[in-house]
Amino acid sequence: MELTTTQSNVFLNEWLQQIPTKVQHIPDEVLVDALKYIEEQGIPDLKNEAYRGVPIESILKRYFKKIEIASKNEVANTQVVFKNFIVVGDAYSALSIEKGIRVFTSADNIPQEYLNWIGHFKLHQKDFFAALNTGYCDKLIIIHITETLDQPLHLIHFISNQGNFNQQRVLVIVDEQVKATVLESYHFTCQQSYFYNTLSEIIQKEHSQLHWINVQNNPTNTIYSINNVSFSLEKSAILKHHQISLKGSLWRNNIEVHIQQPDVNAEMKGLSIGKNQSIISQYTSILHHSGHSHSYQLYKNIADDKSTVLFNGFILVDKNAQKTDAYQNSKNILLNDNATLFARPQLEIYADDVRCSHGSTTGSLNEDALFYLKTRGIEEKDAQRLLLQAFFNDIIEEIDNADIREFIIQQIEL
Amino acid sequence: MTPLLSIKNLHVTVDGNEILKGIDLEINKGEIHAIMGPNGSGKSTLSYVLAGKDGYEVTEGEIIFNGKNLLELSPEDRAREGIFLAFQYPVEIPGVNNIQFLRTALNSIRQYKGLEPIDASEFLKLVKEKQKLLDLPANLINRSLNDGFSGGEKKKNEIFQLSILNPLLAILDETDSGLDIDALKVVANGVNHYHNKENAVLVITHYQRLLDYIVPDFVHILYKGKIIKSGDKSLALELEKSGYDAYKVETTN
Repeated sequence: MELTTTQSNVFLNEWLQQIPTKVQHIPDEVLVDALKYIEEQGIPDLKNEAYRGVPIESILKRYFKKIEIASKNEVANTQVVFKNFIVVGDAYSALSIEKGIRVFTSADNIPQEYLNWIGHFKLHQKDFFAALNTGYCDKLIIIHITETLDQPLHLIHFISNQGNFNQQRVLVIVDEQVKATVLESYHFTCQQSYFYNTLSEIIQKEHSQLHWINVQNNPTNTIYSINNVSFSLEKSAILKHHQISLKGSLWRNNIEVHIQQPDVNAEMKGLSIGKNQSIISQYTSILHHSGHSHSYQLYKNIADDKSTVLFNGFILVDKNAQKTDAYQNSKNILLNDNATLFARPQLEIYADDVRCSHGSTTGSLNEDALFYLKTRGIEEKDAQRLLLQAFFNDIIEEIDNADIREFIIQQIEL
Repeated sequence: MTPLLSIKNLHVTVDGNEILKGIDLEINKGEIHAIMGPNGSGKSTLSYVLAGKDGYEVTEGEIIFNGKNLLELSPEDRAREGIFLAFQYPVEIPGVNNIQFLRTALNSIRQYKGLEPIDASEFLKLVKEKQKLLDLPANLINRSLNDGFSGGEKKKNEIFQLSILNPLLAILDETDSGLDIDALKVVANGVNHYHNKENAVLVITHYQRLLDYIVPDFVHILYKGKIIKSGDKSLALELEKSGYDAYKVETTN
């Protein structure tokens, strides 16, 4: 046992030495905690319950033993859906924003009021990659939304064809009463294996309304992404979140929602479609720290070919979070015997006057429905496509903005 | 004249049990045939074999449809060649829009025949015409396919699809089951409207009731996997009076 640990630490130490450390904007105590967590916990191994089905240690050793950081690139041919956009990742922070949005990057002199939020929700003490991002990421962008936006803000992660490693940190603050929609997507020019480690902290003030849509699709299947996200919701805030994960070698999302004050509504929906040998792992935590709030989760997962699609949904209801109403459901379709699906709900409830329900179903496509469609002259593949679209329609339909719906539909391959 | 459908010495096994034990049947264009028989006689098996459902193994015999070996075709190609099965239990498919599904089906059949996809306004016109014929409310046909439909609505929707896809052979598998008399008349009217001298209808039923409205040229009695007697429409009336037992005895002797 001791020998393994030592070997593992040797790899980690050598690995970390390749990452430049000029982190400036992280508060000292947060940085210390993050580095301590990295040293103590190490890279999640096969025995790590949270990374079950995601062999992250062997992925790093196999593909990313040598780290090359991309130099910043000009952004080429990015598919920008909205006039309001910010490009991050391997790019100069290109942006075009309307009034109502203030943006700061690590190069700017960032006011202290923003820095106070960095690491506030202690993701760096829960997940190795959140700690890695906190301890070793020099790229920070702060997006402060001060007024209701007329149109969505498009946040684009640009991944270039140089290097194989990058990290990005995002802090978003949505002011009181403000309504905003954010589309987060990824633009790739890379053909090589690429490791992208992101961390986003999103603060929603009282009575704010945020619709956040993250669309992950990498047609070349070369991206390995770990994405840590934390939403913090103050009184009467409304959050709608859509997680769409399509092609790519690895999409791992740790999505955490802190319900800090009463009368909050958090609606989380997800669609994951695993193809080829992709691994998609959605790890959600809805943390009811305060009562009289409502959380709703619906995740639809499809696993085809040799893919692995995992959903882990954790709900915590604190002792004083009375009158909480929490719902979670995951629906799963296995299209191929070589694919793997795994869905696990986890509930921890310490309050006694709450309503919590969860469910999970797994199956294959309905053979009778397939046959019925075929007897009407519809090709097997088209019949399958119709049934799959019917399966996940309610996830996409929920998105009010037609341009975003179209952006997603265009990228779905069945 | 070459028959539209020719079934010769058809033997079919399901899960190792022989259900059809040598069926011979010929249907010409312009004809209406009825197959009657008690529960378990193999009526539904025959309709599923014609439509191409998995799990029905043909161990002997052949089916020639419009000059083609039907047993070599996939279910979708059979439909494109002109076979239509109105299901006894139409499948509910939530999330698949009834009209979009029908347009996909129609265009898929047209493409097979080398025709251009139907244009939107022409399709809409067709839908309106048939919808009226079958007394189907507009909100129903715009819903998810059969989702939450009543038994009668499902059967009407089957005949609605039949009238839009306009196949060469319509197989009605117990379309009368679960229908009240008014719905029965509407369904029969739809079938009669579809029927002409260029196509054919195969009605599979327990009861003679439907045959008052869809009048067959030929009636066949199916019993224990064999057609034991064929005749004209008077056979159905006879059967209604005497029950199946009289014919069972006839075969034993």
